[in-house]
Amino acid sequence: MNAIISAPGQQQGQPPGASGDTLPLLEVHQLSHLHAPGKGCENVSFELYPGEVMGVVGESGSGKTTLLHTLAGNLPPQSGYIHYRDRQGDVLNLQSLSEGEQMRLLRTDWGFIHQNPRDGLRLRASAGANIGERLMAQGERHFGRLREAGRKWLDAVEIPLSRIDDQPRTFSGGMQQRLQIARNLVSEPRLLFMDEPTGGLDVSVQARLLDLLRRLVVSLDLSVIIVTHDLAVARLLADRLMVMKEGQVVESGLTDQILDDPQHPYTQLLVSSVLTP
Amino acid sequence: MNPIARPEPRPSDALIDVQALNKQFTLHQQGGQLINALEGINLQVSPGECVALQGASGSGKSTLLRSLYANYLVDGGHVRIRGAADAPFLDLSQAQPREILQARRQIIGYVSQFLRVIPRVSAEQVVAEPLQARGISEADSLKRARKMLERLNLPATLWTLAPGTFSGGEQQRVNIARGFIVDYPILLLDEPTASLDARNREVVLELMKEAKQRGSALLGIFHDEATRDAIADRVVEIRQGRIV
Repeated sequence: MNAIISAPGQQQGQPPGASGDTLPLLEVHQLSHLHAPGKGCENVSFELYPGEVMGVVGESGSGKTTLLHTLAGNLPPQSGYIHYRDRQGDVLNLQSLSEGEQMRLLRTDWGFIHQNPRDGLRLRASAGANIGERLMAQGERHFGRLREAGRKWLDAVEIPLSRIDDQPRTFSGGMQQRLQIARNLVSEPRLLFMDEPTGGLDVSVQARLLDLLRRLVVSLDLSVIIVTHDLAVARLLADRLMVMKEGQVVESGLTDQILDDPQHPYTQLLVSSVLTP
Repeated sequence: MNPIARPEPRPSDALIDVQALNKQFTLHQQGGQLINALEGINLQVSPGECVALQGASGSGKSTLLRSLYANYLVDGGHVRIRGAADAPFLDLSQAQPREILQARRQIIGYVSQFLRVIPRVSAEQVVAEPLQARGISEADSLKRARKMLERLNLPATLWTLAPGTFSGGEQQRVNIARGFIVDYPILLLDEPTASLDARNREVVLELMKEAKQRGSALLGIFHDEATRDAIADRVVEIRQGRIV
């Protein structure tokens, strides 16, 4: 099977603009994965460009988490396709990749931040080992370099270096979440999937994590798809939004436009239901 | 083209070009009630020009400014902007989110009355951010941010604090500093001097004059008549969503 759909030479050359890349990183067309009618995601299409942060909002049961798992390769699409442009500029069709190739992509180019850090960490391995795992999977065996990466990323996510040999099961929830982020970022991914990354955290811990995520996304020029039911989180992190209801995207656009001038009745209901202190 | 044949020739150098703009709000939570906020708005603003919007509250002034920032969706007509008289227009009614964000980094600045604070982000960082989004280094952008805050008489002790606890006037000065830190070709100003004392109002007036001299196009709502008379070249009156 040939997973490469087009090589860079075949693509229409556009002069590099001030915005940098002008070709989408991810092209999603009519993607569906339904558990039952109206449950899951149905005919979702969008393009994600390098450096873009897209929020997916909606109530629980709207299909946003199913969409995220289908995009990230954790659930098979029932129809539609996902095209990804890799570092070499080759456009890959995700379904035609072998399991090994998909695995490699997930561990290098992509990252997945689970809502519950326990789903994304090895709780009985040290913090340093958690960070080094992706590098080891890529063949790095040099202890010094692994240790160095561990220190660098603990520092980047504001975890004291003295905790490098501690197991994350002894960490607070906020610290576990920051370690999960470090563990994903160590391979310098280009695309990050986040499922309610601040859910279940205290408000003060949440603010710190949001600030950290905001800075990392900008400084590393990450593309992100973030699922959240919290519109304040969406406003803070996302450039653009997709609003989902019963598996369908009912509205999409610029984040502040969707939140300040919602068009769809469901989006208006969501926005008007938010309590502002 | 024969310019004489056109009844109302539009200035060919306009940076802001609004044609037949309509904006409606449909309130689905209130039985689908329809509000016509703007109807048939035509407006052009040239480089170095400042146009003041005037009208009672609720007449549609802020809605027009927000439509020009793509914060509100355009229902009909065109809202076109560009960074220079010889650059192609970007039609905000058809632009992709990333094109709008790009325009907001490079072309349009917006100074609103209220600052949207981000927890844990300091005042100087809030001001420096638009420069960093344009690729200027953290050190340089912070230096320029502090200079701007100093010019707006914000005490240095506040620069490294998050503006959440600042007074209304202090927050507004942070907002103004953020709006003027980049030399945007287009500036949208929603009551930029609303809660400022005379000294700081004077600073904002100077900043606006400098922007005009650089060739920026300014469109603003100025509640304060003295400020409006000192900066505006033209006053456009809006009544019930229409220019009169």
